[in-house]
Amino acid sequence: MFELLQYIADGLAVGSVYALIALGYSMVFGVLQLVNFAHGELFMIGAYFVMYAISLGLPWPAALVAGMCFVGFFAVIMERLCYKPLRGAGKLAPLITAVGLSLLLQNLVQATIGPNPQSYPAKLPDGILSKLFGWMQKDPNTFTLPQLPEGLFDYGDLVIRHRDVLIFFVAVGVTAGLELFLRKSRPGRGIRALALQPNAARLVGVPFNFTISLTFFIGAALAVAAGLLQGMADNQVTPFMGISSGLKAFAAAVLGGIGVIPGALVGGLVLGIAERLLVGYDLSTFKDGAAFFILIVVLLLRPQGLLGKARMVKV
Amino acid sequence: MTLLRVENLTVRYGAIVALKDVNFEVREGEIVTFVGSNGAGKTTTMRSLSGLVKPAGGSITFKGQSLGTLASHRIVQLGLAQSPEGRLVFPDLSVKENLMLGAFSRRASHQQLANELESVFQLFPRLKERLAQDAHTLSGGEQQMLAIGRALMAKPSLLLLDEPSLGIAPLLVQQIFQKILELNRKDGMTVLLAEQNARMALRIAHRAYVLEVGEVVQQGNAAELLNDEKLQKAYLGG
Ligand SMILES: Nc1ncnc2c1ncn2[C@@H]1O[C@H](COP(=O)(O)OP(=O)(O)OP(=O)(O)O)[C@@H](O)[C@H]1O
Ligand SMILES: [Mg+2]
Repeated sequence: MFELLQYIADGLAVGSVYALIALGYSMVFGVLQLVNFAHGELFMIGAYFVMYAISLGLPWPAALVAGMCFVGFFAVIMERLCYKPLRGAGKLAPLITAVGLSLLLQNLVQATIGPNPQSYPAKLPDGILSKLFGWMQKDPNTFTLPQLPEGLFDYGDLVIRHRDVLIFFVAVGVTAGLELFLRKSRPGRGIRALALQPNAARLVGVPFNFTISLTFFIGAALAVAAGLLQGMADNQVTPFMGISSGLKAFAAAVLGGIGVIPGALVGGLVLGIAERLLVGYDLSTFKDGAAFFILIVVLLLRPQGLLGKARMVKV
Repeated sequence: MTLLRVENLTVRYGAIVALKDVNFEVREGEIVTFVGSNGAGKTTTMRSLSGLVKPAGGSITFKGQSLGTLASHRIVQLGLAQSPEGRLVFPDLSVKENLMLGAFSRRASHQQLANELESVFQLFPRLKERLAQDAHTLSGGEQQMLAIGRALMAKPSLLLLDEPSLGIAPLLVQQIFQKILELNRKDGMTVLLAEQNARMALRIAHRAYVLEVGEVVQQGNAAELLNDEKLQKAYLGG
């Protein structure tokens, strides 16, 4: 019994990271009915960005904000250059483009940084990045690297790490904040209107291009937050983390009901816990497939996802 | 005074020419109607006025300003609002939320919006009864009222209505047209109305244009067109 609880507790942190990534998939899909497969790579690039920025000596909040802005604008430009020209060209063309972008970004990162995992404190790779940013490097003795809390809540049979609790509450807080933003703020209402009925949204004066850019920006910024958390929790960043975590986050978004914000959180947590359970019961070989197995089963029973409304799935 | 002037408007969808050199104008205080059968180009006209399709040629001038390259949200801000064909209410939002989104383009105080909400309810009391109900649970007629109310919340100086009679029972259509008339006569709202139901439209309109496969083939005083033999045969069922 305690074993089960333990696995659930452990799974929450992994699932929370999936959830943060899933929010971006979900928002973009809600607005454009586009699965932006490159979103996982935004998460990966964000993880690198903040790892290097922190290793250069930037305080973590500054590194996070800088990473969010960088990756956010990167996503906006990507949308303008690659997806916008394909609006009205059907669903297949943007989908293929997304897959292509995902591979391209992964290759680009491999080419500039290399395929090996990086950990804190990360040294800028030789080449362009060192040339451009080497001057920013502070003396490593003058600052300490930020760390996730190390403490434990010890209940005997059940041990919960402080950092897992922190990550979980970050994900819950971000999801709630995003939902609040979408309901209460003017740009947020614009995003919601566009997702619900694009032509009507334009007819009431929602600025179309701006709102789409904003959606990409927010999704990317949240992926950077996820990248920071995962990078610190695993103390490892690789060019392939976008593929593994990104695909699972996509599964989480669909599982929870794509286009539905709290759905991303629920989907992420369910997948995170399921993975931990499999590892715990010696089935770790199936860990990576589990996400999709659960996804398929749920979609057979509830095609709109756990929290989705049947009408909202426009496929 | 001329509020809207459209000259040689041409719209293409790929190889299809949906509108060809369409000319018309709407003066302040008028109800002007576009009548024509399926595929005549009424909706295309409306969509180009609201900036949802970019014309291949011609000019649209609204309040002396060219709309040619303006984004759709700028056009709403200028005072041109539309209740679109098929109504397109926001399905999962309540009646109130739908109406409030109608005012998205404006910076108005709460008090002001509350007053305007009230005047929409005066026009369509039914909406007030359904205030908290999700829009997709409304009947077709109620959704049409909601779409018109939503457009009114933008405080337009020109109201575009694309087939408000679509899929609605005749009695309710009469009611809705009565309201459009009321809006025009009482509040002085200028209205551009696209309709297949030519008889109803011509009854309330001042002037009319007849559209056939993308071209204006006839135009004039609505009352005269209502009695026009040719038109009667084609659109008014003899
Ligand atoms: N998105 C589109 N792509 C291609 N062709 C289109 C598109 N929209 C409209 N058309 C074509 O343009 C022409 C005019 O259509 P439009 O919808 O403007 O007619 P309408 O007068 O509003 O008809 P209805 O009374 O049926 O609503 C039609 O031939 C239609 O097939
Ligand atoms: Mg039409």
